[in-house]
Amino acid sequence: MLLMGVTLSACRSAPTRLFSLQAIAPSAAPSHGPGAPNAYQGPALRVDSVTVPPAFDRLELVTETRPAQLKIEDLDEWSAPLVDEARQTLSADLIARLPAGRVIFPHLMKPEGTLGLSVDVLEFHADDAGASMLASWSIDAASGNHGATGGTATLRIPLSAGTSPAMVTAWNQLLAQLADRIVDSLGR
Amino acid sequence: MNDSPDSSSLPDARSRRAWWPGLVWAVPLAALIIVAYLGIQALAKRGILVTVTFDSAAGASPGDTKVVYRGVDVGTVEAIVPNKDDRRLDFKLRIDPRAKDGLNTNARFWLIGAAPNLSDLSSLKAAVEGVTVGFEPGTGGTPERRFNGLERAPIVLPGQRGTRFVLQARTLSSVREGSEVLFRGLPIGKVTDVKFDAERGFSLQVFIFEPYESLIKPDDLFWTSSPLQLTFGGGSIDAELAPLSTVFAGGVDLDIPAEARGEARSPAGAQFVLYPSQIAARQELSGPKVRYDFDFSGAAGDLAQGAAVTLLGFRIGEVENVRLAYQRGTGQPYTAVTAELYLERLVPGAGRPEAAASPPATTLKDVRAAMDGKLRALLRLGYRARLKQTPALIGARAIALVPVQGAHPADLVYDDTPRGGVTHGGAMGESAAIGRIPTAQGSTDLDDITSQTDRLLIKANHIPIEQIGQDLGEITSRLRRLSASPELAADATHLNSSLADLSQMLAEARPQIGPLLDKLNRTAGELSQTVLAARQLLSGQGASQNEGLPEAIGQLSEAARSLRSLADYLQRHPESLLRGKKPEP
Repeated sequence: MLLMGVTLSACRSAPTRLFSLQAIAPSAAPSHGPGAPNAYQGPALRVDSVTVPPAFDRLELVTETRPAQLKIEDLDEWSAPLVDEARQTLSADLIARLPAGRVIFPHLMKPEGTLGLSVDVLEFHADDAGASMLASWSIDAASGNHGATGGTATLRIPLSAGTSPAMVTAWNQLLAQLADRIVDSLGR
Repeated sequence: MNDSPDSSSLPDARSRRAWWPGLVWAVPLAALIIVAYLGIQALAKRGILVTVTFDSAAGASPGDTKVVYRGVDVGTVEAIVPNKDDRRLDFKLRIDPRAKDGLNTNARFWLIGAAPNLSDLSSLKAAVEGVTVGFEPGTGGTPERRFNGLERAPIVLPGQRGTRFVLQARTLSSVREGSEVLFRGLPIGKVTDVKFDAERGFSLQVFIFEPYESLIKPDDLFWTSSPLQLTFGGGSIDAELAPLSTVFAGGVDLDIPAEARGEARSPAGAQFVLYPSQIAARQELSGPKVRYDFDFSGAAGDLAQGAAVTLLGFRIGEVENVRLAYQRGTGQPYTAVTAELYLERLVPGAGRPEAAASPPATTLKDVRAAMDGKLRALLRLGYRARLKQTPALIGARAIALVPVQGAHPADLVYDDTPRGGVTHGGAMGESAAIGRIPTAQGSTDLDDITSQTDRLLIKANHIPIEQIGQDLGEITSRLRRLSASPELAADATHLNSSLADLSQMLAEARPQIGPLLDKLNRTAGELSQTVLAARQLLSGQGASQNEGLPEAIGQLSEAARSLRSLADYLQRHPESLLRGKKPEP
């Protein structure tokens, strides 16, 4: 009986942890831009798409143990695909940084003249040396009369990475920084 | 366990004998019974071993090659071993025991697919799939276990009911073993065997299926069916293609002439003539015949033996002999032709007692007299023999009795002198002289054409060419004068005004065309907007929660991602199927 119990218990899977990204308010983020709320008065914008490096775009969390060595955390999963999470979070970050009504929620219809923001995260690293992200964004000026067309940013934060929660923090903070940069480019 | 030294309290062991060795023996016993049952059943179903001898294996292999009876497997080839004669092969076949009754001297075995044949489509299929052994159980024979195999399927299966007849043919053309016999398009029998005999030509065995053998009557006509029939007539050309099986495998057509309708059916084995075509069959030659000579001064050397002698297109005889000869004395070369004329064709009804007004010509003398009388009458009317080609100039040569314009009444020539040193055997064993039918002067088509050309030239010489030239010159000058005349100018003015009318008409129509074009443009614009909207919808731009397609595509890719992840994980941790997901150490 004891043996059977042991055998059965051996068949049980370990519990899976689910992770989700979260927006960070501008004051909480280590900001590089002006601390004051942006007075952007241009056309509204919507985050059309966010892409992440394919290596990280998995159901499971991927951590970087050493440079260029990735590890799939089998028991830690994203609660939604990372690209969707990133799109939601970036939208929330922008809402927190721009005046009300300037950001259209990601799944709403784009009214005429709305700007479309596409973000491509080309590189993402989070190892013991810290976390970094190389991202580029472009603004599709639907009405064709807006000056801001996009930019590229290399972002970096100090972090002791290597675990799943640390990875989530790295994503949160770097996306918040990216939102800051985008807001800056809009304000100019 | 009990350490008590008191051994008297221990129970005594008693051995008990029973016939039943114990429950545990039931299992091997049951197994033994089952094995015995299966063994007996296998033996009972093992089949009957028969030996069939074939000339070649033709790709058959032991174990694989099946024995098939009307499409159903009834056995397999168990082994193929050389026959005792070292030239043929013995096939050992294991036949289903239920076919036991059919294994008698009348059973047939053959290789399907050994000789692919267009007339037997199943052989083509077998040629691709590999050979099988065909089996047709016999009826009424004595039991037998050794058979001689046929190299191909029997044309008439044992047990098929019908009657055999014989056809005699001079040429075989497309008729083969297996060709069908058709009665007005309906297959009623098959050619089962073809034999060649130097004297009589080809002799064909024909099997007519029941109940069609009642159609076979003494006066029936058989001819080789032609795959394609072209009929010229009524201002059109009709083409008729024979049934496909006949095109590939040849066929024999059969018809019952009107006079044969009431006849009794022919007995089995009756002989018939197979004609090369329907026309030849219709013009069948039969009955008593008499030889006649023809002397042609023109080129007649390519007149073939068997060529027709016709009167008004009816075949009344055939050429028997053509040779080169010289006139005695002058040495003038000519063509001497001997032909057989048939009384029945030349004088219809003369041979039939019931139809002839005069007493029937039964003796040889009577036949000759009747023929001579008819021919003399024709010659008196100006008929002469002439070489003919149909179609003209290129067709086969034949002799035609035709009326020649301006011919004097003539008579048959009987001269006993052998001409050109050639001696004739008497017709029908008769030693009497052969009558010579006079031929027309310039007795070929070519001669005829040449003389017609001459006549044409004479006529052409009479055409007043100079006069025509003068007339033409006059017409030309008149035309020239006309073109310079004021009437022509007036015509041109008229044409101009017509053109002006047309352009005015177009100008009036234009205002109506304008709005139509506008409308078309607008429709095109709307269409392009629809396309744009559709494209936006599909690309996800402007997609809302309610619009299902991008959503569905997203769900699909989501599902694909989950599957990929699962596969991925299992590849890395196959043991997780048993042990579940575990944190890595």
